[in-house]
Amino acid sequence: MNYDFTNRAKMITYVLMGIGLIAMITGFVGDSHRVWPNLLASNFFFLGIGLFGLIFLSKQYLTQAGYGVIYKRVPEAISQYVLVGGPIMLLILLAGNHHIYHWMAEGIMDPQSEHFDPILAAKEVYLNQPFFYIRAFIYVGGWMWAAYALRKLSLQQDLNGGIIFHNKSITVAAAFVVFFAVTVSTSSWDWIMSIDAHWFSTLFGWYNLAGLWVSGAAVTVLLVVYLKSQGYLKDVNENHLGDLGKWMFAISLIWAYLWFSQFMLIWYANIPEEVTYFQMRIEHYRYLYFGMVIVNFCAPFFFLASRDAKRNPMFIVAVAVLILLGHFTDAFIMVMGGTVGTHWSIGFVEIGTFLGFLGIFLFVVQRSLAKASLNIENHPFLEESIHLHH
Amino acid sequence: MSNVVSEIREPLILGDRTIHDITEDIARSVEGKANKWWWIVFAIAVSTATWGVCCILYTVGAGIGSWGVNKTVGWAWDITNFVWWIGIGHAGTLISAVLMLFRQRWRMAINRSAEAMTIFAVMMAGLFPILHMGRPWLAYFNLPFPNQLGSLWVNFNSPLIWDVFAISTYLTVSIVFWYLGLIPDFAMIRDRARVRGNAMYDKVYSLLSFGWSGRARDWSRFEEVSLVLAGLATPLVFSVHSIVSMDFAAAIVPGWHTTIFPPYFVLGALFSGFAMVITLTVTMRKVMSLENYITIRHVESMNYIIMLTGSLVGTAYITELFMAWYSGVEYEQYAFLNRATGPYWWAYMIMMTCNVVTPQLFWFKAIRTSFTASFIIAFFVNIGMWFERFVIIVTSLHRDYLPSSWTMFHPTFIDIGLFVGTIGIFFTLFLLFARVFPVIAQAETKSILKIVGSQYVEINARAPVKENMEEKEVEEKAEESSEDNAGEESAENDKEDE
Repeated sequence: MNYDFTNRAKMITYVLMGIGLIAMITGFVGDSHRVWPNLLASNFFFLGIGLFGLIFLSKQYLTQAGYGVIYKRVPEAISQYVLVGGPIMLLILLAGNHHIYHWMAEGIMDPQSEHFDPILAAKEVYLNQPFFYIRAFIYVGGWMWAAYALRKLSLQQDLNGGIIFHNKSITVAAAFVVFFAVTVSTSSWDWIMSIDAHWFSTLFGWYNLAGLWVSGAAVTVLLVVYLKSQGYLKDVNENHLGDLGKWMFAISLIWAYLWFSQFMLIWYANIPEEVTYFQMRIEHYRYLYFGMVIVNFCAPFFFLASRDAKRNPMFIVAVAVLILLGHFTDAFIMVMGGTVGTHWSIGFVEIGTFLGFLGIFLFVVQRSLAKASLNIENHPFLEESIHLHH
Repeated sequence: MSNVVSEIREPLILGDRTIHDITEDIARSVEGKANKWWWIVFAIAVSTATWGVCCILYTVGAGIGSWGVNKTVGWAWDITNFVWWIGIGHAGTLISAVLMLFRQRWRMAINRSAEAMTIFAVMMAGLFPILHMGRPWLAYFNLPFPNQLGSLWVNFNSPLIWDVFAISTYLTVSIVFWYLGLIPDFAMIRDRARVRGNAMYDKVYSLLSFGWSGRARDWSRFEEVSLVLAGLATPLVFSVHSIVSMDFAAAIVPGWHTTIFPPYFVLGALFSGFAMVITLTVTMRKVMSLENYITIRHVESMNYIIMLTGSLVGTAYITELFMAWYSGVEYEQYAFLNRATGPYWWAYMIMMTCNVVTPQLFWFKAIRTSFTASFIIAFFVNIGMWFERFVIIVTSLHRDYLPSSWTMFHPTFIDIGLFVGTIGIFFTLFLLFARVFPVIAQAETKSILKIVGSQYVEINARAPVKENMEEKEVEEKAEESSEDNAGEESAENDKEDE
């Protein structure tokens, strides 16, 4: 059974995209410095969710996990955002340039210039525009290939059957995981950490990995519950929701652990060049920043700890919405702190941009869901997944 | 847990064992007599342990001046050994707690020995900081107890005191978890002893099994408590080694202060821990004839974890190296330059080769499904992980901020004795464990027999794979033959051992 992407649903996504477009135009007319960071933060967030789709699929193939087969069209559909969000990311980076990245500004690396910054000049081998864009193209290209290949093999398996497509998927998944293990760190260094070009943290990449993982898990929960409520995915029961709830719970705690590791070690050592990152955010984004940490940790910790809560659609949906907002806020503060800095605000431009990307994301995901049957066939672990009970 | 099993899953219990066969196979090691090999290994372990105990006693008597540590390198082999042993313990907790929450069936055959390994390893680890105190009889000063000793109170700001709490909690939970799982198995030995009329065994194992009756109510309680303990132990997998890493990362010593340390130490710990589990289980499999229970699938699963954690640890090495340069902090840059090219370059090379390069060999199926190869690589990983801690500790300390104090570290006879001695004590304890306790969690293994036992997998397989069956069969045959090869290889390995 295919998902029916109704005209009404389409209209909603168009309206959202329209709001985004208006917000962008309003931004450019007004204060254009706000627009680029907003575009980056929103697309980084949704691209991360798209990448989660790939992580989830690869993880299932590589660990021979049987539980998630019946709803695997959902992470597949999510992963298709990489095909759209990836190129958008490249556009934002190319056009945003020195509006986002201070180190790209004129004369920063030039000893003769009055803007010369010796610390940044020492990083020129890595932080220079050609290499930066080459890297971005490689990351996005690799991810797009994986998104395309995994989806294609999965559909072929449904049509043709046989273990061969499953084994090919395992190969693609292994290649993606190796590629992603490196690029998830380097891409977040390049795109986010280099905004605060003086600052550095070895944990930054893994911290972002946990963030995108948990955001993606939350989106998966929302989509699975939504599809189930619309009469699709009939075999999904509370055991499957419980598994998804567990992922959201577990990765939220890992995210909190990584947040704490990064924050505590820097706060504790109190070395000026490191601590400035948090000091700025605590001074100027205080309530938003700590509010984000509290929501992202406490909501899953207190509401999802019990077994019954994880199997209750109402509970997991509520927590999923909360932590999605929380993790978007995290991305927002990461980007804004180093770009607009103290002049940040949350107004039409910010909310509108987010809604615009939400519109694109929902459009891509629903279109992908509508393209192939939601009933999986021929998967070697299908029966295990249908008969799942803990 | 569902009984439906995909047909591409392979059996985890071989040899068409029945429930009674499992009882017999596992009780044999406790009820029977030890064979020649056990006595030989035990004799080696005990003599090494004796050397260790002598060195411990000498250290306590003479003080830590008998070690190679000096004013610049204040931590060296002692803390290296401490972190190494703590790390080894981690795999046991992961297998017993995290893999339980993930419902991984392959944990059943190895969890008991992995948990025993955890407990003994943590004990060995705890020895080193206590000895390093110089006056170990005052070790209780580490506890924040109300006292009349003036202003004597622990410094809660110090990661070293967090360690005291983290490790004692860890040891406690690990022992409770381990013992809980042993209760039904002790009851099995008790019941058998009663039937055989062995009064001594009956009495001892009655006491140990806490009056376990095997009724549904007992099992229900047992499962509930297991789940709660798994939930409690899971955060401990992360917290213990994170806090150990903070012993370094909270300092401002170049090469130590870096934010990736907590997760990277945890991954490194799992990496070395699984290597030790492979060392122990592959040996045990042969010495105690457990071929039907510890299969190549178990080893392969562990190899996957070693490959994953090893690669992530490698990524962390590169990240550290890159950030040291990227940070622009010249002290950091020098610390890493000195690690790689300074007088301890050879230690750095051993670490890189053993930890980053050797696990990559597991990409080849022939290697990761060979007992011999896994055993050898696991050995390299353990060497590599010891050197990793040595590199972190000694190379960062021996050339710090003050060049006039730069010096080298040279271990003394006592240093070596302490390290080798703890390995001896560890193996002595483990060998005794293997004779007294059922080394495989028989109750849990029986629970998966009808799902993944070799005679049941085909019945349970109802997966609708329609086409390409021929190809699949060919593959299966190929795998079977590779398994046979693996069996031969390990037989050869035993010959080599002889």
